[in-house]
Amino acid sequence: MTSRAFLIIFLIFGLLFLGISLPLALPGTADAPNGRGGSIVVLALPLIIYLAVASLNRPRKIDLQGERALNREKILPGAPVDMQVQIRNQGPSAEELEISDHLPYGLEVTEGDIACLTSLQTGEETALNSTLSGLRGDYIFGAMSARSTETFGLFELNTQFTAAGNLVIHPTPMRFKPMPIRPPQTRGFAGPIPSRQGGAGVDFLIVREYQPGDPLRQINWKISARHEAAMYTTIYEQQRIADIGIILDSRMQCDIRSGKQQLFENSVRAAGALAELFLDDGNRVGLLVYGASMSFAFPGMGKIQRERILETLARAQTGFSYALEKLDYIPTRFFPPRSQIILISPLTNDDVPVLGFLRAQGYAVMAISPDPIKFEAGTQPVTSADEIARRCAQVERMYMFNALRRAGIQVVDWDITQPLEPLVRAAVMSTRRIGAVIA
Amino acid sequence: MSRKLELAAVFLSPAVLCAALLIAGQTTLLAAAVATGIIWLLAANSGKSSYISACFAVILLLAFLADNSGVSPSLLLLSVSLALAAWDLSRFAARLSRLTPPEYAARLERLHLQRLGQTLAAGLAAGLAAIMIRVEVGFIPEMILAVLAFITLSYLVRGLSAIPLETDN
Repeated sequence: MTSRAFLIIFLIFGLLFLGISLPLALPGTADAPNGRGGSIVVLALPLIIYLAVASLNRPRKIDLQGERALNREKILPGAPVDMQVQIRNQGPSAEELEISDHLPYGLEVTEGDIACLTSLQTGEETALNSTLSGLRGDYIFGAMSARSTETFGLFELNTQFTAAGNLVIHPTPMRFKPMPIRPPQTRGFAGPIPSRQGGAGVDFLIVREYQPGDPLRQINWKISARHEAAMYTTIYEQQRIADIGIILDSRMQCDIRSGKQQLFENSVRAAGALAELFLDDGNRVGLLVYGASMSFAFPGMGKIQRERILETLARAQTGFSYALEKLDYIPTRFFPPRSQIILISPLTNDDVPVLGFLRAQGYAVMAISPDPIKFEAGTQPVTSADEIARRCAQVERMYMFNALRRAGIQVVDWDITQPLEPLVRAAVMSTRRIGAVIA
Repeated sequence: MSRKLELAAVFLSPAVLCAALLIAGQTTLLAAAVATGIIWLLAANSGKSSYISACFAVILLLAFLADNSGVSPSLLLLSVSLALAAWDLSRFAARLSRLTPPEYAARLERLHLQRLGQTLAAGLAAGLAAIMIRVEVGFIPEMILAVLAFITLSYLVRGLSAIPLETDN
């Protein structure tokens, strides 16, 4: 029953009570011209009949079936998606049916309705049409609620039913131009990455003394002419694909939020951009999201792997776990030996030994660190005391970066107001070529 | 349509009560009825549901007081019925404007007005019949009838409150 029904019942009881008690309380009123007490009871009759009609027509069962259709299941943040929810009444007729869809947090309606009041006969259908947009995420639609009332709205029946659906909003893309990375080890397939091995290629690697079997067209005639007793061969560098592992740090302690802005979103965008870049070059890329739990996109190549990684990134959320409070439990077996690892994290001092350990295991490690200090300073008013604290924190951060560089780790200090690509490119280009193995 | 009917009922209910009170010469109650009518009209225009419910209850109270002052019960019955219609239509209009797409509104409105009209007609007819038909009942039978009425209504209310919520989907 609704509050309206209670009001009607209260008024009926009040009138009946007065109608019956008045002749008793005030002797002689029963003989009054209107027979007062009795006519007060008469005043209650419209209310009684109103309540009785509502009670007779009250809803007894709701049986609804919902089907949800989205015109696109994968979109970018802010892009519109049209949604239609078809609702069919499989139960008895409903005089007034209030249907509400519950959107997952992060989505908003830009056009149309996700709730309506209608009446549905048995077998009849209605549809809710709306246009949605939202932030990055993996949204699972489920429960819808329905409230059935008779037309006076005194008696109600509530239920929930399911209209399943899924919408994935990928991170906002950043496009990087191809850039040469130099992992210690490459895979056997041809690709864009110089492999430090001689063979079929276009980039010069080394000149060495001629060995039987060398193709004649590779003989370096100029150098051979300067030596009487020996001939020399130009060796080119093979280009192959590489294994690249991207680690996205989603630990709560590494995230900073200010209003609607979140530092983690920039990390996600960077991870997506790097994954797309390396996959477009034909490399084998894996993704590990390390935070409240670990979620993986196992190493793979091609467009399907790109979708896997973008979906993993769409689901990535920051969180806290005592077990994964530090980076100590990064599953190194997830990444092939001596491959390139790219960690995207604001970094804390506790992370330095872990990265050093990865480097010592033979991985080429690059740390891309969105600057949390500048991010926070840029979103909040800074006082003089804050300025001192900020400078101290910057010094501490520089000291940490120096320690990482000494361990042989490429560090990209990323002020998120600046584009990331030039910074990564500069870090990659400054990498020294460490030795070369001649085939 | 329902909005116009609501405003008409909001105007007519206190107006009928005022007319009845004017005929009976009850100036104090008349002033209260006029004030309630004005407040109700303002509340109906601004859509304040709590004020509307309060005005409805006040109209019933005034009808009760007027009945004790020898005012025509037929006019009071008409006023109460109109007040009930106004109260119902205000809530209905609020529900309709909040959620209903225009294509469904006409259908819901038609069903509601039809049902409300039939209910009020039945209520008025029953009330007028009760006013016209007079039966002399002694004190003891009256008390028994009263107790029976209370018990029946109590069971009815208890039964309605116990309607289980449907969650079978």
